[in-house]
Amino acid sequence: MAEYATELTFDMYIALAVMLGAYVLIFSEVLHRTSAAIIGAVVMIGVGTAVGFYSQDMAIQAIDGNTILLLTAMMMVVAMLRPTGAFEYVAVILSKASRGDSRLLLIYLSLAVSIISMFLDNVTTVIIFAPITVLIARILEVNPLPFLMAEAMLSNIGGAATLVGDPPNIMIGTAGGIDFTRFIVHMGPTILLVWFCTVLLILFLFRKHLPKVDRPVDLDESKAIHDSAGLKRSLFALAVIIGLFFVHHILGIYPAYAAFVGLCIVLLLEHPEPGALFGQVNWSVLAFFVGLFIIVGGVEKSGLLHWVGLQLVDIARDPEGLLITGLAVMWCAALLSAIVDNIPFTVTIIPIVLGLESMGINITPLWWALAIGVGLGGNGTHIGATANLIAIAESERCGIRGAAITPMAWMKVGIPTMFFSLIVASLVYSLFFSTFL
Amino acid sequence: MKLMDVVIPTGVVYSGTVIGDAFRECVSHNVGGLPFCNAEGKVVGRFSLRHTFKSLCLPQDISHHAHLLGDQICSESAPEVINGDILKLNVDPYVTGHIATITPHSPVIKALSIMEKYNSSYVFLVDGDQYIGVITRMAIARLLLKYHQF
Repeated sequence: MAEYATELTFDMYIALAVMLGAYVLIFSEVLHRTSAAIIGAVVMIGVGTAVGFYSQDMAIQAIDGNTILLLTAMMMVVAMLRPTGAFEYVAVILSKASRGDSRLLLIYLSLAVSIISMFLDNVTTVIIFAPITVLIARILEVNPLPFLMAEAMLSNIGGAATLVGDPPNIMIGTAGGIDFTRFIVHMGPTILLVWFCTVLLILFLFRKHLPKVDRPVDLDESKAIHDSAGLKRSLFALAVIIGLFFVHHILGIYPAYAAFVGLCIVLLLEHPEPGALFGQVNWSVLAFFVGLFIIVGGVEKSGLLHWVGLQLVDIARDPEGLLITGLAVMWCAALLSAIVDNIPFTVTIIPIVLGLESMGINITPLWWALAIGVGLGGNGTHIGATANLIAIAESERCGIRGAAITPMAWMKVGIPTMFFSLIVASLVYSLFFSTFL
Repeated sequence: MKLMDVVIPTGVVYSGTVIGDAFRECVSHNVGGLPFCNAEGKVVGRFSLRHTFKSLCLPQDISHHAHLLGDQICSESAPEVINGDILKLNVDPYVTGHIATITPHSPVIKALSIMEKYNSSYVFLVDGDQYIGVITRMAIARLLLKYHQF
């Protein structure tokens, strides 16, 4: 086990400076966040090697292979599923089922987006659902704004329920050794309650924008499915993946391996063109994560994150203090996730939490608090989550009067929604704290 | 076959030209677009029927899901297009900066290649800064039929 200093050292200052420099570049958007992360990683390895606290080998070991490979495989599966038209089919069917009731339409679409976001990337889900939502709203002659905001917010909440629903959850699950089933059992009930409360709040906040309309949804869902055989094959592969997620801990396989098993099924059944498959993978996001892992790996090796853990250990050791620490982690994670990218925060805090474990603290409740915080915090502002930006871009592009979501318009709904959902989650977390231990 | 044999001389549009006049010029010469020229007569942009319609009445949510559309939305949306109000608008906001051009000395196959690359049905023929006319696939096909008396 590595020996760490109990006082701040020169190595720690150097590592902190490199990390802060990289994070300033990432958050200020002077450079694209992926470029900033790559530069930060290269500088961290170079400086760390020169000073002596980091090396190329350590940097490679710092990369969370399960997270990167799981995301890669799921991106490829989505790339196969997306062109089949299944998402559009679902949206049209749901819009017809709402029978002109805008409130029902909002609930149905948000529910669909939330459920899909539990298993697939929520950004992709919103990218697909947002344009068809605008079209449905256009046909019904209602403002698409509430629908787009609800879909983005509730997809963020839905994604928080599962191990694979949100990249921070994958990282938390990998670091904490939490399997898919355990994750959904612990997070599911809380997120379900938060979801219901958030839907009610959104319906209340948008009550004037959600009339009952007497117009048919003039869309033909039978034309939505481009390739029904391909859809069946892709859904079969997805079902295998989800099935394996539920038992991966029993089989002793990583979630990433489970996803690759499903991907292999798609590859065998679909014979996709390599360009069509690999071109759909968001390499920029993956490179961003790799860069962050390397940067934070350097900070960890410098001993700084262990030192931060030492400052928290006395509070967290007390059982009552642990609840307060958990709530503090949840709210800090949420508030920071509302204003900056939640990925760097998650990547940074994970080694600190792991460090607390080595000091004899039960860190299990902190994982749940962290997952809740980063999952719900993104709803606070328009920049809190990528799905929010997708919804905003679609609202601006559609050209419908009054539909454009301004940052202020987002925050008017997003901030109350975030605080309300955090209060609900905090109450559940506090009242049922023993179940989170 | 030389490009000068198939060129269609057309008028050009300037800042302030209204869409109705641009449409009339396109229709009378059976071309999909016209060059947008500055005060010195240099081609600095392109007025295209496709881009104008796309900007005025085909938001992405509609065009992306065209296969799902029923007839009702198509008849009721974009009333300003249907009642002709757009004909009085200036072309300026609908001009694109991207211009595909070719010179009189270029072979026909190059003209077809450029149209293919830019997913366009026409390309502007220019000689230096001098605009000559529009080359279209239709004009090339017409001349082929005429030359070979098929």
